[in-house]
Amino acid sequence: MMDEDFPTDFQVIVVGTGMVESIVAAACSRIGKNVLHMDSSDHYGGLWASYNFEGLQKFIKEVNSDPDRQKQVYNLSEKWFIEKESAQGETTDENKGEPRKVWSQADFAAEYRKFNIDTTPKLLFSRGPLVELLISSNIARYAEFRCVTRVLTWLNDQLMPVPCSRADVFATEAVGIVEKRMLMKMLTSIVGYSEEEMNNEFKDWNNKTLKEYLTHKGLTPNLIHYILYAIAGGNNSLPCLEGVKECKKFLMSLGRYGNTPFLWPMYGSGELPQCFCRLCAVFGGVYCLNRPIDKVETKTVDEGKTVVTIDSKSKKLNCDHLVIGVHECPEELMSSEPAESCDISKAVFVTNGTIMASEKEPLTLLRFPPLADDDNAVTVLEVGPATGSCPKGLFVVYFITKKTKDAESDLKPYAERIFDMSGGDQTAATDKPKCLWSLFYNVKDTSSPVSSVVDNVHVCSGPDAGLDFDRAVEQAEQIFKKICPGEEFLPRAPNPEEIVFEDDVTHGPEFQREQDEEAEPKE
Amino acid sequence: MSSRKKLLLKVIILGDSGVGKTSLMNQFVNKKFSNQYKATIGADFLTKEVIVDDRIVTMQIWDTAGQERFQSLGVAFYRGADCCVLVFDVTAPNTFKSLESWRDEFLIQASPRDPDNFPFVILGNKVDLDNRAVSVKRGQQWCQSKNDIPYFETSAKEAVNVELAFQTIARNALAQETEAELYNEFPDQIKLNANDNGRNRDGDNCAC
Repeated sequence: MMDEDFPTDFQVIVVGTGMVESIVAAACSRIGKNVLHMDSSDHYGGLWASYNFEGLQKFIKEVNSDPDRQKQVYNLSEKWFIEKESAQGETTDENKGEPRKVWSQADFAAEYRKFNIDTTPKLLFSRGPLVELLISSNIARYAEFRCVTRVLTWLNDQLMPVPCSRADVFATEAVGIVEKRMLMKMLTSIVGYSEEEMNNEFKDWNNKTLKEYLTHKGLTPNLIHYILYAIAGGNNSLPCLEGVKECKKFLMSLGRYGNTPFLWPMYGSGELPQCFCRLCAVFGGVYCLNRPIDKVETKTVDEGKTVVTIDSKSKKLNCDHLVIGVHECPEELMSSEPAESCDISKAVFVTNGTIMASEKEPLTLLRFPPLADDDNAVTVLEVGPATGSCPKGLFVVYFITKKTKDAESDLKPYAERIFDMSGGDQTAATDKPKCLWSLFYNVKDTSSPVSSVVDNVHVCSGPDAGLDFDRAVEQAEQIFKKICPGEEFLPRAPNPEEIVFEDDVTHGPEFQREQDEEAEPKE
Repeated sequence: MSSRKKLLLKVIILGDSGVGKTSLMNQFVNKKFSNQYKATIGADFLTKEVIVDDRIVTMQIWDTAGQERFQSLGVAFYRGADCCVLVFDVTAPNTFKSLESWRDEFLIQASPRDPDNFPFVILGNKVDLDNRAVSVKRGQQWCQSKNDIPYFETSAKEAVNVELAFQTIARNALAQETEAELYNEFPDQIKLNANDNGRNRDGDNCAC
């Protein structure tokens, strides 16, 4: 279809619409490179995509029936805890104030568009690199966010809010006055360290853990728990300096937008690659979904310059630089397999209520310490209808950890602490929300950088297990600098009203002048 | 409804490549027209304040940025649209035939709460040209068959009906909004900008 007017020569071709690929595409297009951006599937985001409920069912089916197309996903298991159809006339039980809706699988199908379920749910640190980049590049205008309203942890067999700000520390009833002072002192000193002071202070702690340091400083077990598991997001073996840096990152992002250091993108993390793609398109990038590639070849032309040629739908596309997602990249182009690393265990749950009641709809980060000795810490994100993630009355809850055994064995014990996973009557009064649907799966970790055998082929990593997007931003900038040395990475895009179209009709006779002079504001 | 201070309407313009979407926006907002065809570059969204029934309304009109050319508009583009303008070229029958699929695509992707009453407007553009191939009647009939969508014949080049069409778009979007009360389905969203309400000044590690 309309293939005859498909252009064939580009400076940069980007294959795959994951986070790293999309940032690189935007950055190249922004400084005037001629960019083609394609994806083999019919939607944006690759392994960073979010899906509505129908799209997610398609994804599940694909993993199960065509493992070659979703090579990175395995051990997938989906389970319903509710009936296929709702029984007639059962929702009228209104004796206790608000009646609870009884959800059926058919209801999920009917409201499938109201779900936006992420395959790579991530948060943004309010003063982290991605927020700064979105602002400085002006790409922030394509996105909206909500604040994470609380950080919780699991302490003494129950959910506990983590006091993170000064006000929280003073307000909390969970720790005594002496502990409060100790906690404040520790947090204040961590925020205060410069890079140099930090290296100095912790030079004798190189081979020790954060836990050892906090213990040495005389902190009580509760305080160690807050700092180590909830603020640093670590486990018992977290190295001291690394942990202190994590704490500092957390504390530095407090007080910008809300009560916690974190932002969540409206409609999910899968929106963000699309924001970068839009900027790329606005600056002339050509977009083509549903466009698989068959072959990648390189040939050397005059003066030793290498051109990359891609076969796609029996068309040859040429470029000076190929940027390609690791999942789309032919193996022979990669100089090495991605370094062996720990795969990721993930789970998604849809529940009929929040894990801990609150006045307004909460948006929660819960950091579980390891429940068993050889477990890893588990990150939990609970998002509700106000984020555009699900219909009213439901919550979507994501679980992420490093894989030990398989996703279900790694995560189910944690889920059972906070959900009622017994099925049964949804209206029954319980202290835990009912799990209505669950999905467990493992993802291969493709987040470590891979180099290619050809200088002008750049391989983009897949999503990591981390909480934020920082590694993706960092890698995208590195790739951009290789392609466009000396150029600015995503300079501020003008606001639409500042743009003067070069083909604008001007009044009066034309005369020769320098192109750049035309950008003066018009009255 | 009570006094809402400022109303923002997100308007998106859809239609095949080359029908004049960017030109229509540009004519409406900047009163400018360029004859030189170029797949959309640099067009993002344009804003214009209009007055509808004594209310000041800011229309934010979103261009496809050329992503429609190979059917690659992502779902993010459609989020939160308050109304949708479908454009075809009266000299190119294929672009008229595409209206149906653009409308369907919009309803699927944007999934408005009340699809039957969602405000669409159809613009038959380029009426200044001689080689017209879609008759007024054909245009009107199709619009009638789709729950009476308002139909305008426009020329972005000669500024024919452009103002009127966009006024209608704003009015219908507003009517829909007050009726269905669907304005701001998700309150308290955060837009990021450099002037954040940061309190933690001393720790500003901004690298810029």
